[in-house]
Amino acid sequence: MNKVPLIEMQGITKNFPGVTALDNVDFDLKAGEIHALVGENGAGKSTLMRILFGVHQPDAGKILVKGQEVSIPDPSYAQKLGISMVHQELLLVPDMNVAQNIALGRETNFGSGFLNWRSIFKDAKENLARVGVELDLKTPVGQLSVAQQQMIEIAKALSWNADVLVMDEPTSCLTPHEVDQLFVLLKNLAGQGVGIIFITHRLEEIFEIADRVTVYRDGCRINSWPIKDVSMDKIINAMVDRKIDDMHRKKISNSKKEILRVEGLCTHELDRISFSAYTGEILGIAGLVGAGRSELARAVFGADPIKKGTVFVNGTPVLIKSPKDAVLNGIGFLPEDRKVQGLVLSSSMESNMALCMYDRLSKFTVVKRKERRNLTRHYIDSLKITPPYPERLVRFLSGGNQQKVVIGKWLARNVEIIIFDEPTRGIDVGAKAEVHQLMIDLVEAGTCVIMISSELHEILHVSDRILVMREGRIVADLENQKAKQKLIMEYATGFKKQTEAL
Amino acid sequence: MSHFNKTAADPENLSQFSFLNKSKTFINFARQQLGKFGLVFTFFLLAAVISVLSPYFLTVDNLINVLMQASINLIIALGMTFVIATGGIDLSVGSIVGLAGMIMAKLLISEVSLPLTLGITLLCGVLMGAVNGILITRIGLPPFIATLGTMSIYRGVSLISNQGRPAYGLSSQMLKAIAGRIGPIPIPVVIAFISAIIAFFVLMYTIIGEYTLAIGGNEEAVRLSGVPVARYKTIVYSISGLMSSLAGIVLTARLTAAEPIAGTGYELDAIAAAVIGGTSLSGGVATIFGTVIGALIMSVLRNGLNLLNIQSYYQLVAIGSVIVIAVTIDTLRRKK
Repeated sequence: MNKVPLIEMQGITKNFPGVTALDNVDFDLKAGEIHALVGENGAGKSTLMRILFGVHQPDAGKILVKGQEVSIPDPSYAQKLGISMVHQELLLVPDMNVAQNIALGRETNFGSGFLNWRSIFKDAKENLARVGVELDLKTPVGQLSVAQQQMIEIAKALSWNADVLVMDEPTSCLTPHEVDQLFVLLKNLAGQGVGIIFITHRLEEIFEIADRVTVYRDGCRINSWPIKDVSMDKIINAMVDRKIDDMHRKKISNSKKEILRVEGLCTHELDRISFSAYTGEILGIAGLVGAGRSELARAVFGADPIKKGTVFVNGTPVLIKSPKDAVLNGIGFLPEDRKVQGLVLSSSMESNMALCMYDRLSKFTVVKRKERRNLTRHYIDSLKITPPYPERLVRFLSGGNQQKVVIGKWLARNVEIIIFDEPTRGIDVGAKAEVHQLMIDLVEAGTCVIMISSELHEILHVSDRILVMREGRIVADLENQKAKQKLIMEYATGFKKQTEAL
Repeated sequence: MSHFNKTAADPENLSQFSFLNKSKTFINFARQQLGKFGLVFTFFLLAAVISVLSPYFLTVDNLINVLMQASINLIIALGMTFVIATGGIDLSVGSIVGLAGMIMAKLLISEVSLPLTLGITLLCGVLMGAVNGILITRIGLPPFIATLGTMSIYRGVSLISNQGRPAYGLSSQMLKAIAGRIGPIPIPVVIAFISAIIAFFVLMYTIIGEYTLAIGGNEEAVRLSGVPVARYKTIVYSISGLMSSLAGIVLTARLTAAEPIAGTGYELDAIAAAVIGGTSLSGGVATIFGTVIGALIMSVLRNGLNLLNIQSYYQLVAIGSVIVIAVTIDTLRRKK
């Protein structure tokens, strides 16, 4: 086997507005190696892979492919270099058949002008043979299972003569049996000399498949080991930051009253969820991407349909079939992606803040503009939104100020329960501290705050109690004082199994 | 008003952004003003060019004629502005014009009183719009498909209602209240003008207008604010139906007869007026003033080309070009 690594990335740094996503990171991949990348959400592994695939450009550092320094301006160039990526969300055209999907983007290889269908089918058959599956080439891929589609993705990646294959959480939607099949295939490909980068949140898989594992945290490479020199414990220790474990918030001893209770909630993604939330409490919900945290918030808020289960507000069962019902029952919700779900970017601050308020801010449908202006001014002042102009379009505010507008909307409504889904994602450090203080002020005033966050320090820093979710279930209910990053991570990754009580 | 007066954060952290925002917003403000001004400028430039080429253009008679020609299109375009502002489209407006006219004529011929006739006709318009809204919000059809279907259905019903024949024999005396004149000003112009003022009020000062623009801007965000989006979208399509039936009434009164095929193609004019006026086809941005100018630009252009004895075939090319240019300018402005 060749001594020169397939991929070498040296000193890669990437800044996004407000955050350093990668700070002087090294990475290398040898031929025939399966290299696992692990780390919390936002640790930088995806950004690193996007740089390798040409989606982002690094601010500093260099990339060597087979010993040659290259710059990768876009994904199609990455594919020419032999780098292919299988994304977590499969990118196939559902209405096109298997052969068409495998040929997609390479049609010019099959004749100019008129397509030579015979050679397209022959090519598809060959590439599928490499991944060891047989499928009817004329079936639209939309009719196939996720696992089969994934095989097609891999076959398609290989059709570009890839010798580097990046797999981003390939097992998240597969059954155990399908995972086994996938692993056989990946080992087989590695045996043929393909280098495989394997991103996963399921740590136990690493020991089954990987030759080497590298841990990232906060945009830095923490450590890298051959798999035989490392234990699960060591990996989890590297993933969490010990130093900040002590940063617990002082518990406020308010009179606790149960305000929200969820019993046996099931949806498409959630499995028998039961929990209670109290006034004067920040309830943190931790878990990895895809654990069902946002889905839980959306179900309670009536944004997604509930299959089974009951929601109690103040001890009374309530029927929440739409966000409107939730609002009328005193529940507010800050969605995960403020630009896509939280804000009307083309409208003013004032219009956004008043959106959930018009039952109170109108008379015979005529908007009480003066009251609306006063209300907006009040929250612009108390939340310190800059610039302080109610008529300013939200599009032109910074991330932190945009988030404050969404928060202001629910403060104006004076809801009793407010669910924050990733409230500080993509906002700068100062605004982040403000949002945290705001949540603390809210609970001190007797509101119940539920906060979903992918950042463990944020969870530990702000919450009184912590629910840990994994694969659509609540697997742990921890008092903050007892919780440690490591413990949460152990539950979230499935290293530690669900507690008996749940 | 709330428990929320103190936050412990440092305002210094944010000051860096306010500067950035100020300069950005100024540029945006200037661009918006230019956009609005540009539309009015285009209108006057067009009028100036035509008045140089044809001295008859600037006579009172002709200007009233221009307004008259703009009025029916404007009435429909006002409703269309709301629909497009939500990010939708209503292709059935022309068919509603035709069917409303038939309903009105039938009722008057059966000697139903004028006020009752008008009431029933407008109500039918609202219902036809509401059907569009329900197909779109409850069944989940794309607006284009739903209104393409009802466009055909309403037209079909209109033709069936009188075996495809026009309904004649309406008393012109009676219809003077709609199609007559107040002094030199034709009443349809007055109706269009009042409609525009009401539409302006609804869009700018009521929750219907607020939600219309917000839904077009980000429907999911509005839904997650607890707004019954489906209801308000249905209301918006009902408004479009109402305005179309009003246009049908005015048209029938002017002709003192109802044609079952009346209003064919009007949807395109209404969409054009709204879009020339700066209404964004992706929703969220609309002004009534823009739509009024849009309808006037179309009317002036048609009138001018008539005065210059240019074949009507060329008019289609000219109006199409104006639409393409207007939207191109809008798209370029947005991209920056």
